[in-house]
Amino acid sequence: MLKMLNKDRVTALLVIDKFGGQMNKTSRRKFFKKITFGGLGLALLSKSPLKAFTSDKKNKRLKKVFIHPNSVKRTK
Amino acid sequence: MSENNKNQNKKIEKSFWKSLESYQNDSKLNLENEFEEGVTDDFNPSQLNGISRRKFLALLSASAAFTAAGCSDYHDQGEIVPYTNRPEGILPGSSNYYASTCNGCSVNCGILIKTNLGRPIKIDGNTENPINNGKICAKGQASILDLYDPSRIRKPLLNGRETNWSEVDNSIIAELNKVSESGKKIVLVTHSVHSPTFKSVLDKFLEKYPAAEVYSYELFNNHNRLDGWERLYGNRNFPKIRFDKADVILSLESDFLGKEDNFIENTRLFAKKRDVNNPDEFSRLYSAEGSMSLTGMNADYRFRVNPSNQIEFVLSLLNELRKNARVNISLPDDLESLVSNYSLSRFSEEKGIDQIKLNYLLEDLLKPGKNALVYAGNALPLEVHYVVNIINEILNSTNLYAHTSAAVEVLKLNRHSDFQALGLELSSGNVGAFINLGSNPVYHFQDAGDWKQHLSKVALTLSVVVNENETSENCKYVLPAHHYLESWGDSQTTADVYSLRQPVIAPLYNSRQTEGILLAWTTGQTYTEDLYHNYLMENFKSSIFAENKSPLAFKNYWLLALHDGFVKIKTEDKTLTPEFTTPLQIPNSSKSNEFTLSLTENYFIGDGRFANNGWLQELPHPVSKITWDNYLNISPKRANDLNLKMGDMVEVTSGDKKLEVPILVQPGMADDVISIELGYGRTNTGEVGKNVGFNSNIFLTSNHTNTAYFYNNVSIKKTGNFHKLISTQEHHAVDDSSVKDFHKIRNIIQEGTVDQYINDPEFLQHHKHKIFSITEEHKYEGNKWAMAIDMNKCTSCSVCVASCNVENNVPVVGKDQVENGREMQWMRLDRYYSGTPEDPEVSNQPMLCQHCDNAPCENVCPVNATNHSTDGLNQMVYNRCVGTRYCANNCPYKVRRFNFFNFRDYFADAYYDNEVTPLVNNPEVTVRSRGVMEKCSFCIQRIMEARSTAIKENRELKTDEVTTACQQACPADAIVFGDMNDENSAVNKLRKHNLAYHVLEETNVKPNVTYIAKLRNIHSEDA
Repeated sequence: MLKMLNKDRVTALLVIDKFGGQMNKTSRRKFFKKITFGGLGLALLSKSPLKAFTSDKKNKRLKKVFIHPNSVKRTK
Repeated sequence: MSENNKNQNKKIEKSFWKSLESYQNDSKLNLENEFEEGVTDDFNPSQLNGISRRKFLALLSASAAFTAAGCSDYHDQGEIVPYTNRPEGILPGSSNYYASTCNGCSVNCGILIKTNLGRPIKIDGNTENPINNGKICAKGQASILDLYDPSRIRKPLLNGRETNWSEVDNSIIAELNKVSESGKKIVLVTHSVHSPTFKSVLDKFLEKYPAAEVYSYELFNNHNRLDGWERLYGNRNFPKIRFDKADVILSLESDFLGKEDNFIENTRLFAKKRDVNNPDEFSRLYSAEGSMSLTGMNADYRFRVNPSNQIEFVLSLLNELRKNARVNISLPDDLESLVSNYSLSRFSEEKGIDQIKLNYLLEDLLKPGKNALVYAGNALPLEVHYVVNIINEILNSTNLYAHTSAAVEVLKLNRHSDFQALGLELSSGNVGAFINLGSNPVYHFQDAGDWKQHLSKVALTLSVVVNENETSENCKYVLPAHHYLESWGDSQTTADVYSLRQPVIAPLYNSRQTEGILLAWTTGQTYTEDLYHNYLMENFKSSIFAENKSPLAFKNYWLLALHDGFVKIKTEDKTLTPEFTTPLQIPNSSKSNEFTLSLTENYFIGDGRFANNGWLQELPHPVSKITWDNYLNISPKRANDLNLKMGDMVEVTSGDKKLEVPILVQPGMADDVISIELGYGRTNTGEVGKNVGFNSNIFLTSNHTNTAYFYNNVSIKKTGNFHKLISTQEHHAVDDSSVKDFHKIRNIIQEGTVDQYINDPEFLQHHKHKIFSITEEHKYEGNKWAMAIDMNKCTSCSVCVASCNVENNVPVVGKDQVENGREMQWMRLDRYYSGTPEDPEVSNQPMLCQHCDNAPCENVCPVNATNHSTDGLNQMVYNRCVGTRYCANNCPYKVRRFNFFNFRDYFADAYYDNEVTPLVNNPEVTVRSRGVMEKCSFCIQRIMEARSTAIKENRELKTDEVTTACQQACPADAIVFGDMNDENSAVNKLRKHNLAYHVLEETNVKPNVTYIAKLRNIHSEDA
């Protein structure tokens, strides 16, 4: 088959053929899979808004700045 | 082969050449090989880089994604998250108020603390507490920043390393017992004790450790006043002075309006007697002092008198007054013969005091039907106080004494000389334990020797402090104490009021209550947050509750007391009879031609305890307007003689003590007096206060002949060095004769005299003319906010500025930025001099955004970031502002402040940009960032809060319902704010007053801040 092609095209195909062993073996399917899971991983790493609603962790900091139980506040 | 073929062959053989060189076969033209070596080699894929373009781009995008995920938005201060379990009593968006007691000084004012989401954000006076009647000083206002100071000690320290409380408790108790058994002394050092409960804890400690001794001190105290009082009346209960009833006041080296004792209450009372609606009742203030003070600035007449000459002055005065006394008192013979040697006319001649003014003084003091009072400063020797008390007796001024509110000493203060003796005792090795409870003797008493060496001889040294200081750095144990906003406590400074202190926030760090620590060590109980709380309740039950015999159950009475913040105690008025028991000894006041050095307290830093408070460091000094420094005050004449100008360094020599300080030429100083304020030059405090100013405590000594605050025979010598002093008053200063007295030429300051006003109430309006406008005036329906400031009441105490800073989250910018005129305070107090530099007349004027109806700033904003609201406010929309600064350029009052940096993280390498300090911010006010213009907003957040409350209650806003932060804080009630469209509002009435004027009103900007002209109560001959 190669013999039927002209010299330029042969050169290009030779490159591809020789480079072929080092070509990215990731298929399009695999690529999209990687993107999806990678994105999910990033979302977990970043501050998830879900966390705030599941616990009072934020409030733990706020709880520190909290009224003293025995103090009496002023009524208006 | 045909002939054609032969010809074709011939053609092929013919060669062509382009040039002679090619024809000559020049080797340079050997172009057979067109490409360089290696160019046309076969392509070898194995030499390619293993990463393909595809992979490279994939890696690049992945790393960018990770970076984006890792970087948090620096603006992000967390999320607004609703409570899932809301703590009881906290409603987001609504504030709670708690009554407590301040402990910034010995007065212990009643305070109301505003808290938001469980954290305190503002401190104001408790309106019901009779000690201060709803007002507090600038130190009290700014003390909230100290709660959130990042340099607070967070854990117990042992030899500089962090440890835990159980280790500390066990080892200290063991060491204390060991010391006690050895027979060595245990020394406890503390500031003044006003808490009866703390006193009982100390008594318990002394009972357990009989070798223990308590040293309690205040660097600036009233020993001399109490000693002088005791000498004549036999007790140490100095009464409260009714300045609101005094028609004539002679103040002797006393800054009773600025920093002495309960100056906030004094200001409130004094201002009552400066009411323009009762000009006949105006008081007249005479001031005789060596240095220019805030009280001196507000005096109607001022004499420059060296403090060493005050004894001569009062004796001369006594000699003149007793001849025409309102109350005849027979003086003992020795005093009679002593007094008769003095003469006011001779004093006037020798000291260069105006005889005419002295005659006015005599005339006013003796005027029948008028209450006169002579009031001496705390710094003067007891002999002066003794004579002043006698003068007040013969003037019948004793009716101005309120004995029901007399001062009470819970624990008698030690003297300066006691600390000198303590230093010797420490170095002798007789002391086994040194316990410092919140004080700083190493910084304050530098004449006691080398404290580091003294304390090295003591086995157990510990400090219980909120912040590290010069004393704690020499102690083995450094224990973190609660801030007063985290503490329980009580206080009794006057006979009729018992105040309570309650915590308004759970402890931020692993600190403990000082009293609770001692109680735990003494009783052996385990420390808990309730330990001292319960002890306080028990003490309250057995003392106040038992004495008051209330019908309420104890618990209810206790909760009511906490709610109010204080309990009134029934006291009775009394009449005291003077007794002349001790002959008067004249203090030695020998002087040469050198100077008398006067050492005074700083208005805002105090004795140094507020050195790390950025707001207070940046608050301009009320007299000099200097920030971030202390200096030596000298008179213009002596500065001229010595060829000194502002900032020149001089070496001050007093005895064997020397110090190099910069000088400030201060108009109004006595020529033979120099003064320095203490509290600066701290070496061990947070980054804000460290090495700011010059430590002048070295001059304080107990080996004085006069008092601890004045030293004669002090010399100064120019060193040639220079230290730049930053004064906010000098910004935009123009050294041009055309602007001399421009505050009078441009009618920025408009003044008159009381007599002038009584004779012609409209004297101020004569020079005015109607200002017309070519445009139609806009009609404001509904509310229209305006402010009026009464210059007769304003003393320039700067509490309004401090309150505004706290309320509106004004940042600290630091000395270098203040030098560039970039201080961010929304309000300033302009100070103008007139008259001569020797005897100047001082005029003060608060200046803030005037909220002009024809605001020149609104027209020039290219993005409409500043505009006018329908209720008359000049508004600022921060997120529209792009920072052209055209508005500030156009403002004739120069009240706009620009954020050249994000000052939160600019100042002191982001000292205030941490997880704790932002808690001090008022959540109702935007925190401004870089590039944004800001200015006074007439506390729009308070207007909105009042408006939303009115809407909720389905009503209109009440008259005078809204108070701005400055108005609330002003101790003299000089600032009035309200709706000028409401006929009944106070501001409406003041706008129509005969003495009302606007600053620069000829520019037709229509400012909404009205000033009431100051009336000086001087004799008509002087007008």
